[in-house]
Amino acid sequence: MQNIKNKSTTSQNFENYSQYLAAIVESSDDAIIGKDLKGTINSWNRGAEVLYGYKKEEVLGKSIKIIYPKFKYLEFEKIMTKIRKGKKIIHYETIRQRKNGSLVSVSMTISPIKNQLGKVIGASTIGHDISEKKLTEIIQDFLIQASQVLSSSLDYQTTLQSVANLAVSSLTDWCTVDMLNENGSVDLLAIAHINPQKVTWAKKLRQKFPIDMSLKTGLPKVLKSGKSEIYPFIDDELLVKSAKSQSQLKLLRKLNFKSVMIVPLKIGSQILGAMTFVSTHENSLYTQQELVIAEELARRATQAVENSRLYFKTQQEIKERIKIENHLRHSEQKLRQLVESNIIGVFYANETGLITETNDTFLKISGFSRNDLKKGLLNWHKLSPPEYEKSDLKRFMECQKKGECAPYEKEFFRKNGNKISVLIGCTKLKFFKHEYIFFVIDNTERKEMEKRKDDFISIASHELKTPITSLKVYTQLLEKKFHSDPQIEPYLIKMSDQIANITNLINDLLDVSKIQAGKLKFDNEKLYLDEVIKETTTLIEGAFPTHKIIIEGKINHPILGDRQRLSQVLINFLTNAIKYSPNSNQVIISLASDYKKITVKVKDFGIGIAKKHQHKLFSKFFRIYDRNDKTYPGLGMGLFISSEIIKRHGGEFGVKSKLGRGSEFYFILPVQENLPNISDEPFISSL
Amino acid sequence: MTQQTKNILVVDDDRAILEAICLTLESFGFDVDSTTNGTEIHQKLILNKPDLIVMDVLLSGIDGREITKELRHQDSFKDIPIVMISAHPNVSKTALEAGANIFLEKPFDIDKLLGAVEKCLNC
Repeated sequence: MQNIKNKSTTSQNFENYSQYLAAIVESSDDAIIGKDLKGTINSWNRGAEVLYGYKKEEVLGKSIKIIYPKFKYLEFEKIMTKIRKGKKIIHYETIRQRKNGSLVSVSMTISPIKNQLGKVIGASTIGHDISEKKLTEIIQDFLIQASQVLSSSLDYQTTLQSVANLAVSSLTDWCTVDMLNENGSVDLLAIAHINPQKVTWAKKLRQKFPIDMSLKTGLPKVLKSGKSEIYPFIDDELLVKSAKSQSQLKLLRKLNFKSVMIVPLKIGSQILGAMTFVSTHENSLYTQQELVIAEELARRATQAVENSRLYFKTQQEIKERIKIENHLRHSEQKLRQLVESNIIGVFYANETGLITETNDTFLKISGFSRNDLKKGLLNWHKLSPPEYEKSDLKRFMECQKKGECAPYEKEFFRKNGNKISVLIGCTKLKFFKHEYIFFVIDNTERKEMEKRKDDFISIASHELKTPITSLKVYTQLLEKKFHSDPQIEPYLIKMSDQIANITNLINDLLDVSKIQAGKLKFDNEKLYLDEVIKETTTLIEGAFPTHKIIIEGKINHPILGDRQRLSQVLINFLTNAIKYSPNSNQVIISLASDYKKITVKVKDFGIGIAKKHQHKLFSKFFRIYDRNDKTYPGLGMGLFISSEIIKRHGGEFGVKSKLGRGSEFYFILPVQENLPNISDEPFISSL
Repeated sequence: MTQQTKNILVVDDDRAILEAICLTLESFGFDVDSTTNGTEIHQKLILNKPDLIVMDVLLSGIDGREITKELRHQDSFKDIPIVMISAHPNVSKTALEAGANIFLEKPFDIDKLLGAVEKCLNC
């Protein structure tokens, strides 16, 4: 009773236990499949449904081969043989195919199922999806290596070769990297083979059978579409289909392709090339996982290539920049030396007049210290005496207009308040709109020399005039005494003329010297030139009775000027006219005026001036020679002095002449309303 | 010459000019006293007050313009006409400002000198 009871309890327990086990199996996330020795499925849990995509009803009674990819059929037989022998297969990693055709990596433990007699009647397969794990592991391992490889070189070809080598060591038997070239075909850039001896052979093969870019499959397709291609299992059927000739088929067979992946190398949408992975072993055929890794590798390789390209570009740019910088440094050194040389004072100033930078020479000239400069104590307006304001402004305008101004003489206040004479020029900085660079030369010595020269001329003239004064007085006394003695008087008149000539020469010399020194002083009075002309004409007619001076026209407008100096111009024009027209007896003065300007023309009927000489007329010490090479007296200072006087009155002057037909000298002066003031500034440019 | 003979003091540091001027003025009937030394002028004036002075601007050691200015401030001499002469033409303005009646630039025509003297004496 007890036994029966026990037995029934046991039987009940067993039933409960079976149900319990079934529940465990059903609830497992692992795929648990039962099959008989033929491989017919007799049990299929929910985990199997999830992993392989087939419903229980779809597979019960069908062969387990339904989840084998075609290229793994051999494995089925091997497994079944082991099972039949009662052997267990533990954690066997392989590939299966889902209902949708996709491949999946699985780790399987296959155990034989024995009946109560111990005979094997089937097998249980516990499958575990390891895609994720495998991928992660492989990728991690691979990418660590990849990173090392890719960072080891920055040369782009080396990089790709390293990637191919890396792929061969862990992912494939044979790897090639092809890059698109400008012609639209491909260059084989890197190749690696599990058997290094075969690399050369593989290269030769490519030479013999170049890639036909018109093909709609394989590498050309990937290069066109930018999408990866995988040929998981290449059987002989496929080879026959793709071979173009018998010899190629023979070769393809010899190559022993078993599985191929081609992945593009691209940046964004730009396809640079592709990597081809070839497996020659049936037991390592490519699946989606390998493809994912290959794509990741390609992505990283592309990145590395891009990095190397950028690196080289950057390197190139750096080299360029270094070159430019060297060049700049070189120029700057040159410039610096110019600025720092002790020859010329240099300073920079902005538009407000603040001096921002100077060299030592300028500091020496101005007497300021570098500390004063830092404190902003150096300012044009402080340094420049007020009497130079007008001429400075003129130069500043010139600089604004032309970008630079010619050197001119001025003075600066030194720190101690004393004035120093300088020669200064300025140029506007091109790239700093409101900055100017000034070049300054200490002019003290030159001024000193000039002053000594001027003093000398002044003293010499004075000294010369002293004996002439008494000579003149005595001569004129004699003239008065013997004015009725025809034996003596003519000689005395000649002596008087020569004394007058010497006096004029001395005066001219003094004037030229003053013009050069910028010291020719002018009165600035309102005057009607008619009166001056009449007085002067009378004077000249008295001195030269050979010529009659005819005045035509009238001047109705006043001018501002120096009566004596303008008279000097007229005397010069008239004496020239008379001097150079020995065969004529008249000189015509034409006058004209309007509200803007007055014009004075002095016309003679003399020897005239050849065109080629005319531009030199108003320069210093120029003299005319007539056709017979007869020279006319004078040092040629008169027209130079006259032109300077007219210039200083803000006027113009010139000559119209033809050789043998006489000359017409003219000057034009602005009338009073149009002339604020006579310029006090010397024309240094005319020196 | 019905008038009383006019007395002229000539001052110039150049003896040749001084003599020439004196000779000219004397030959035209003036009483002439002269000196090359500007500092002697005062003494001369006190001893024998002239009717007119002909004076160089730049005398050795003293400026004729300064002397003129001083005289113009002294009641007994302020009315003496002064003709200033110089080889420097640009001192004419300052000479006239200092109180000279007429300025003549050296070398001058003796007619101009005589004209100037006459003009000053007739005022």
